[in-house]
Amino acid sequence: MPTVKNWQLGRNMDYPYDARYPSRQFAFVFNINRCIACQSCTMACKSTWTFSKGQEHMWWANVETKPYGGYPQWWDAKILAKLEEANPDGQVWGGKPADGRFGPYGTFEGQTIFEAAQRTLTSDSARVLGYLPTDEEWNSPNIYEDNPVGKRGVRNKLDETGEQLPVHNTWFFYLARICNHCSYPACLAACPRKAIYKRPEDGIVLLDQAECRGYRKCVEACPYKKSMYRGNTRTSEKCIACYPRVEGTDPETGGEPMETRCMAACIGQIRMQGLVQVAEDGSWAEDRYHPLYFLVHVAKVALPLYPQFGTQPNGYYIPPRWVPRAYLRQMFGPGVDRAIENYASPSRELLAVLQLFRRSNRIIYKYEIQEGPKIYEGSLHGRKVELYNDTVIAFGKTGREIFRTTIEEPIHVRSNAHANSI
Amino acid sequence: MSAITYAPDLVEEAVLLAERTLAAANARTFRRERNRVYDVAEPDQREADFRALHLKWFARLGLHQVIEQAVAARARLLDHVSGCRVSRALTGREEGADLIGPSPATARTGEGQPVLALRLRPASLLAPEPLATLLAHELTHVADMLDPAFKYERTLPASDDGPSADNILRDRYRVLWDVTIDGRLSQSGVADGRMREVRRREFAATFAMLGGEGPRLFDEWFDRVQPTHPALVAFAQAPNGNARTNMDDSGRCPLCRFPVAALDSRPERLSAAARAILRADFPAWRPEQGLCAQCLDLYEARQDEIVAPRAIG
Amino acid sequence: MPYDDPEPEDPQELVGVELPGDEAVTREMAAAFADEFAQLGFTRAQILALYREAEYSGAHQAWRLLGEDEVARIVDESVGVWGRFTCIVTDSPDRDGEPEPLRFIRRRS
Repeated sequence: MPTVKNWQLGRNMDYPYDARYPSRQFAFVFNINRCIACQSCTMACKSTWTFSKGQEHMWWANVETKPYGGYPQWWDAKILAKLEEANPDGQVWGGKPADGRFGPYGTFEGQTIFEAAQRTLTSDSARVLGYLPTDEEWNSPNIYEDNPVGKRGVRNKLDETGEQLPVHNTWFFYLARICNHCSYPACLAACPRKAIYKRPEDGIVLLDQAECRGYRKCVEACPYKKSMYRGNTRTSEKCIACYPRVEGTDPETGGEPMETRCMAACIGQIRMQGLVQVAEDGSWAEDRYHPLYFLVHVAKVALPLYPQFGTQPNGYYIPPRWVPRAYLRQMFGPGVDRAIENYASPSRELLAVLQLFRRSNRIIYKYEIQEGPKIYEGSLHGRKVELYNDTVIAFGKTGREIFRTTIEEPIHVRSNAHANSI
Repeated sequence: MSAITYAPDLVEEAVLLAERTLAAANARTFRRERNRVYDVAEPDQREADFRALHLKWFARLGLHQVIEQAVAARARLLDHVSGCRVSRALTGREEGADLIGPSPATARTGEGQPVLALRLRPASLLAPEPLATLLAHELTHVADMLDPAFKYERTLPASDDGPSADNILRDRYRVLWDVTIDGRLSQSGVADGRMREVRRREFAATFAMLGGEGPRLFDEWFDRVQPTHPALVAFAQAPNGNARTNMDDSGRCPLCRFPVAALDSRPERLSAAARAILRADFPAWRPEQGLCAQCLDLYEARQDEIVAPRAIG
Repeated sequence: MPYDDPEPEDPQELVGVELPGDEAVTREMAAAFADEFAQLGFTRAQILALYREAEYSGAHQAWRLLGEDEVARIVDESVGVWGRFTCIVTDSPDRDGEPEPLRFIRRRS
């Protein structure tokens, strides 16, 4: 099996195909601290791409309540358990975080889903460790949140007040998910028909409907369970990253690349999506003033989801700062502590870049900060905070300005009708 | 009775799941045949070809055998149904057998016959032993429904206490009927010995009000040879032998008087402050009488109401 | 073989597990919500209403555990910083016609 470089794991790993990288890569950052599970993203995607007959169970974009929820049910617990079974007590990280862009979280010393498959699976066609979820597991987009179970011994009746659930003692959070358009897609690796491909221009992973013959190997292989089988066409389907928008063919922007529907619909302003430059070794090429590059590689506040699976996913998350670290380390790797520290005490530049989230539907390729005066200094929850009236300017693909943000103190205008009021 | 018919989506999914158990050469043959159907341009023809292909492999893999055997073992049952349809269940809870169409009573008199409907998960067809156990149990339900001596009625007596009492009665009836079925299957050697313990636990949870009498009454029902629908209903309505037709007092919260499936067995969870508030409302109440979960929540919340303003100051 | 209700001991049939937190976790969660919503432009009253609302379970749980006084103090701290300022977004001249996002002021240049 060929060897490829996985910068998130800080080492080489086995992958069924030789490495080939796009010039730019579709990537996104979700700030989980802000997500309130309004499901606007979920419905934006559903109403655009998966509203047809045979797609009823499909939610290419979903938001699940952690630690209880999952779509399909238990997707992450199941694949983590399989990896643990394949490599007992060996799924650990070691080494020191690298300063550069290769291995920023240390080195993963365990086995990826590709490596574990070689040791545990015998069939020639089984290149990836995975499993096929059952009908029941696909059945509820956010089970335990929207479908609390009934009382023991009472059939077909939900517990109306949800008291069967344990009280959410002190923490939980919402995990928004779409296809990660991985650099080493497990779906692509598993397809016996080579019907899945990664586009050289933007790294979007697509599934050719004309080539698919419904083997469902991609459904079985994708550790994030974002490839789904459609019974009436007998083909599998997956998130297409709203590629007409990303290509700039949506008439709304006059040719400029536009963020996906799920991003644009986010009323919690937790999402930013872009196209990052890829280096020859598959890591991110230096692009200091690209907002996603800054969040992932400079501020290091955004982390890949379950990097240990080994697919080098391109969805990044600013982890929720209140959640117990052990749980977060399992989900986002050992970079969690630094990410939360940097997010809780944001730098001047990070505060500026966070202002770029959801200010426009156009894809931001670069930002620039024009420094302004300090307007506040004090403490917040025991940490020092300084605010500046910096102007942040966002630029699009052609280098033209999209928008700029500044900060202003509110001005209260006394109303004529109530001259004495404020 | 006409032959058993299988829903196409059940057949297809069962075959696809069974594919991974095939020898490599067989799997290649299946895929070669299946891939060819994708090239059929006309949609209706393509759909028909897929169905035919999957049904052929369904039969070749013998995925129908356990069902055919289980139904054939109930030869008398077959005289009273007009057909048997097997469809796809999405969850384990949906799996089972039922009669649809004319009521079992008319079936007995020969005036129109119902259809025997089985709902099964595709994965269940790949596990012959558990499937045989499941079918033996479910088909006994159907046999009871069709047996004149069982005196089955489709609807249970309505309660004056509203839908929650109806639900409780239905749940008790279900548990009790399951107990008698697995009792009979154990006696005939069809169900394995562990079933007695499974049903005993379920019975104990549902009929907790029986206290020390529970185990004896469970044995009586589990070992009963010829249960009847009226006897099951009578016991479910009044497990303690209370002759009243509606829910007996053992199923009511002593405070709010609403019928409940089970009283909270942990009244000691109430804080002293909450207990004092409760006692002010119900001086005669004793903790050993228990209370329902809703009342427990209510008095905890009332206690919070008194405490909270103090905290806010 | 049992074929109806799942075994309560079966880990794959879990109803929900309780993962422990402590007061520090609760306080951090309360502070995170307050910070984020203050940055989104919510007022003190709006943020406090969110904590009091049982439907918003995470925030409400913190409110129950910490009490109104402590949550109000945390919210005041967040609003005291983020509530001082409004983010002004100015579209570049060719941005006419783009739908306006919520909760911040947008000016045309």
